[in-house]
Amino acid sequence: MYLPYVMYLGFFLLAIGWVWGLGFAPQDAIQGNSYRIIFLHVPASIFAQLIYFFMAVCALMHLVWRVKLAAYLIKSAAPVGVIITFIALFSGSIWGIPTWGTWWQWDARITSTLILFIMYLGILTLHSSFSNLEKADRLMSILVVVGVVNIPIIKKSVDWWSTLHQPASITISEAPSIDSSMLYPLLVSISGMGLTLIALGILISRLYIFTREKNKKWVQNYE
Amino acid sequence: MFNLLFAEAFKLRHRLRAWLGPLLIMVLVLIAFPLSIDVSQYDLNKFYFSIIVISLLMISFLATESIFSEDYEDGSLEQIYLEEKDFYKVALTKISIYVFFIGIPMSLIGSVFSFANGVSADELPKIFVVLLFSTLILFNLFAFGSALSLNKGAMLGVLVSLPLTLPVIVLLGRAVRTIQYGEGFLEVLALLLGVGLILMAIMPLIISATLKTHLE
Amino acid sequence: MSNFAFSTLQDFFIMDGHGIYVWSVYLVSLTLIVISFQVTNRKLHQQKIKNAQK
Repeated sequence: MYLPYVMYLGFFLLAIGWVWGLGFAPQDAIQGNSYRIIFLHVPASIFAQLIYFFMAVCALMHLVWRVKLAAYLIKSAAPVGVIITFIALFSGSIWGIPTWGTWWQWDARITSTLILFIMYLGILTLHSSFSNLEKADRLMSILVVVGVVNIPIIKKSVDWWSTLHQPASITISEAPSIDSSMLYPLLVSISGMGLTLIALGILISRLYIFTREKNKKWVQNYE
Repeated sequence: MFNLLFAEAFKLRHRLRAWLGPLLIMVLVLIAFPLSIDVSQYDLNKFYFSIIVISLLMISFLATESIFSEDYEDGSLEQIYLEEKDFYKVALTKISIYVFFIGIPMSLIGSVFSFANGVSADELPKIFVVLLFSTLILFNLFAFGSALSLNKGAMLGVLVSLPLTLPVIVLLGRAVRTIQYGEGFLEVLALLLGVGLILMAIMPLIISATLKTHLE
Repeated sequence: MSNFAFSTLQDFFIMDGHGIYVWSVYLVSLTLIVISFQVTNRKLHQQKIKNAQK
């Protein structure tokens, strides 16, 4: 019921953030106009990781308290993760062409995002290869919890290797390193992207629950 | 505990394919690499180590591929489940046995081949130790992968566990650099050993939970 | 919100030669998101019909 509102609010914020970022934010002194990909790339990269954290929390809930819904949420969040991680990789490599002169660099953060992409696909593959769905749920949760160790390594690897990737644009603890005229549209884009993805996730989970629980009475009577 | 150790070692000794196979494949891969490029044009020792690392990665997986699935198929896993309700000890012994009987020879082969391709003799023990500690990590992670996929074949296991092992490869690359430049080697070595030991303690727990899920 | 960063609309699309990168990225990503919404919606609709038939 609330789904359309979330979706349209997400689209709306995304539109504001992007129009603001694309049209009205000032030009970057070093990178010129190509930096405007930031308003897509940074939200995508943030949510590529956040979705995995969300899945890990769900996986813990599923393993510890055996919450069935948590497993459904993992299963539905993974495709969203695949899409957004792909967008993060794609936008990043296109951004790389004008600024670094190369579309791919074996830099730690890019590589670990690619690994994240493969991990999402691996989780989906694992789940789909067992016909006993309860077993598949639990195995998937175990894999997600074990895989979450990879995320701090993504963060840390930037420090471990000296790379040409710029440090993260927004940190919570320190003052952001970009100007507020670029920061505000970025924040708006991030929240818009978040709401859009939440809407997509809810939609996918609804589809998944409807497919999986098709023999339950309440599903058959729904609408 | 010792009974279990001997039983597992005995099992492995009888499965010639499970321990000799990976070692022979490792040798073959390391022979194949110099054959595939024009040796006269390239300085082999510069990047020979990377081929050793990659073959270590792949062959660690091949070696641990059937670590649990054969016991699952002949029913001994189920028997252990009925008796002990837990797989921690079994997983721990299995992995230690594998590191001992496959990991050590593999690291030996790797260091000998790197010596044969122009790495100097005093770097040999360093390479051996680095490879050995990384097999400790790799065997744990891949055992987890094969526990997850169990009877669903190798493809699934490698797909889910390979992403987890890639940081180890990064660390190995760094270890090579420190061997070449001679600084900070012990730090990287300590890091590898530490990660290996932590995994050795934790991974059997996770593997045990995974196997229980399969048998429930 | 500051002023429009480009003097003409054409500048806005070209972006000093970087426009092709910027616009293609936004276009592809937006299409991907919209398509995934569409596909899920359609599948959901079909599933609802299927469930109702039972």
